[in-house]
Amino acid sequence: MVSQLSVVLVFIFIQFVIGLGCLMVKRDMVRLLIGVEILFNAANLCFIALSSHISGFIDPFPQSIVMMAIVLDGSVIAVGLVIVINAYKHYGTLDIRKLRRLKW
Amino acid sequence: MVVQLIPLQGLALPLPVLVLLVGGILAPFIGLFAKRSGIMLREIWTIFVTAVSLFTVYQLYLQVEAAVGHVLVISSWGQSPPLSGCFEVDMLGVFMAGSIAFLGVLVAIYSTSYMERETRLTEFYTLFLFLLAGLVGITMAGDFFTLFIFWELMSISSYVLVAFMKQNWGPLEAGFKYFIMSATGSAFLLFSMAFLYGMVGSLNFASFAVAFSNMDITPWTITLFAFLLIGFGVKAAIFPLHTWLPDAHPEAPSPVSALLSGVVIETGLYGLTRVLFLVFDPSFFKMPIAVLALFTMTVANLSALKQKDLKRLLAFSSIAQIGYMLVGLAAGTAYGVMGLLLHVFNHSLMKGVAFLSAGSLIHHAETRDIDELKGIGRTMPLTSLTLVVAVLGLGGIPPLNGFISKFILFNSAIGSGLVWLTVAGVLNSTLSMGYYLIVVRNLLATPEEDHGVHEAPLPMLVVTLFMAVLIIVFGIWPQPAIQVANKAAIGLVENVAEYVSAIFIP
Amino acid sequence: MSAQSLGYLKIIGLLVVAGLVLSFSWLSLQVEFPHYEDDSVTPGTRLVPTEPYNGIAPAVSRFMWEIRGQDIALQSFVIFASVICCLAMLKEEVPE
Repeated sequence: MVSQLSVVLVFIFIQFVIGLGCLMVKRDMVRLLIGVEILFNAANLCFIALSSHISGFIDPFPQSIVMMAIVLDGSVIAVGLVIVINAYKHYGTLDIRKLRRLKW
Repeated sequence: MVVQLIPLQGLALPLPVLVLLVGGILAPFIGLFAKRSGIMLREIWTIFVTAVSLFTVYQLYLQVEAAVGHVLVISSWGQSPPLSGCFEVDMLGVFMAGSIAFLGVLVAIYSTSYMERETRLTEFYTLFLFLLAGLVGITMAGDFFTLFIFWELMSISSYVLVAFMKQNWGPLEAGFKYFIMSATGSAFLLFSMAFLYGMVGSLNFASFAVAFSNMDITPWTITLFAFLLIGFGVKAAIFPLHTWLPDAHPEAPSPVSALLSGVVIETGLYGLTRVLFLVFDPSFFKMPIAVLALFTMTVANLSALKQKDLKRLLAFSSIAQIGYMLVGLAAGTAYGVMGLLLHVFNHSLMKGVAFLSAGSLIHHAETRDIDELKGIGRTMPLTSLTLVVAVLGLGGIPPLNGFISKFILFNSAIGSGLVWLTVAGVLNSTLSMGYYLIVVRNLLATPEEDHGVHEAPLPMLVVTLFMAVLIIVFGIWPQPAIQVANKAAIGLVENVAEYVSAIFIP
Repeated sequence: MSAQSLGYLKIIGLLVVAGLVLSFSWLSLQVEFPHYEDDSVTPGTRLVPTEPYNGIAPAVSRFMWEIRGQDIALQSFVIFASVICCLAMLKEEVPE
């Protein structure tokens, strides 16, 4: 019988793979930002999953880390959205396959 | 445990970090004032703040030198270190912070004249100060989450500084690609923090050293190693994750390129070095890092041979220099880490002057193509001389400082049993002289028509000449830099007990 | 949805994703996560009991402000920097 932590870790890794897959497959710039956000959320969930090891008690340390990490990655996504807005003004499209002018 | 208190009510930060953060907060207000009155207040404020931060880094160096065990722990009132965030300053942190602050002052003086005719200068100088604050904070952090906060501060400042010239399409495309890769790296870093917390119970670097002191290699530690390598490796431009660098460095404005190549990627390497030496045994990461070093050097040097754009060639050369530094990390001894730190300092000088003088040439000639810059040595003789000195130093020619740090790096790899890595490194160094000499030949050729001597403006010229003179001086007389780097490396690799005992009072 | 319409890159992507999911599932289900044991590194106990359910949030926030207060003060600088970033990228280019 596997422990409860292992089952939660499986789902966290599934979310991690979904985030990576979203980054690899999608071609809309805003969807790439959402992929990065999914990766950040998977990492935060990993913190929280590791906080309830002792039954009947909650460890407050990772929960405070998660609250601060949510703020940090919110500001990162805000800066990313501003870059996307400016890129849209130039290219007229949100398709990342059109952004291939910087060649090898 | 030594605590440094400043007479603000209980707030204690290392003084360089505090100076740069307060300078960054006040800069927008000074910018509002400067716009109304028309004096160059913003530039003067930036140069003043960076000079004060360099002075306080030197004071901190003297304090760390005099402290017990050469470690200072600085945490605010009411925080107890193993659970809370703290700053743990040792010789390694002071060395990196000194390198960052030194390059910061020089680039600030350079950018007063380079960015003269640009718009949104208030935001540029504010973000410049926040970038330096984030970099210095990373090197002094004693807790992994404090490092992550300063890592994000550095990252978001650098995303916008790369994409600063938003009227062209190039910086935006390069900035977006850099953003996606670097934000993914930050997410991997957060993952590795979660695993480390689960294995150790707190995020303090000293508690990592205590908990991992007798470690056996399980699949989870290998996963942890992989996530750490990806998390720090995206910022440090290690082989499969380096593809953002050749786009981002040319498209950024030249002072920002010099900072990015000179200190930002080395800070990624600093984070990797610090965590790997505290968590893992050097024999564990010797082979993976050696293989990555080999691929990084070879791919970067081979790609640089095909480049026609001057700044893109210098960007690939940065990746190759990171490969040489990884050779020192793979050696796993204090001698290897000393070579790494010395090369960090030398590379920040050499690549800094290369990008700054390339920026002067491009500022005058309005083109980045090497063939079109042919013969510009006649028009701007002093700036071309500094670029030639920088490029020869990067290739490792004896009287300049690049030779000494490369010699120490390759020597340490032999001493650690990685002879094939040294052979590959020497071959790569020779190969890199191939494309450096192309640049030198194009600079010194005779031009088609003679425009007369039209030198760069005075701040740009003085900064590049000063840095070129320093390259030659540190090549002939490297002893001061070697001594400080040696103390820093010994503090990291061998004196872990003193690092730990500053937090956990036995 | 035939094989030709998928294309090579998508097949390789699907294989990589499947490989990652399988290896991570093996890793988390078969190998025990080496969780730390209580009180081995950090002195004293700080755990919050789950019993009075309304008491969890005040206890966690007290912990966060008392022990992690320095990081909360420092992240305000990150928020300020992101505001300046958005200003820098959204301002019009007015020559000064």
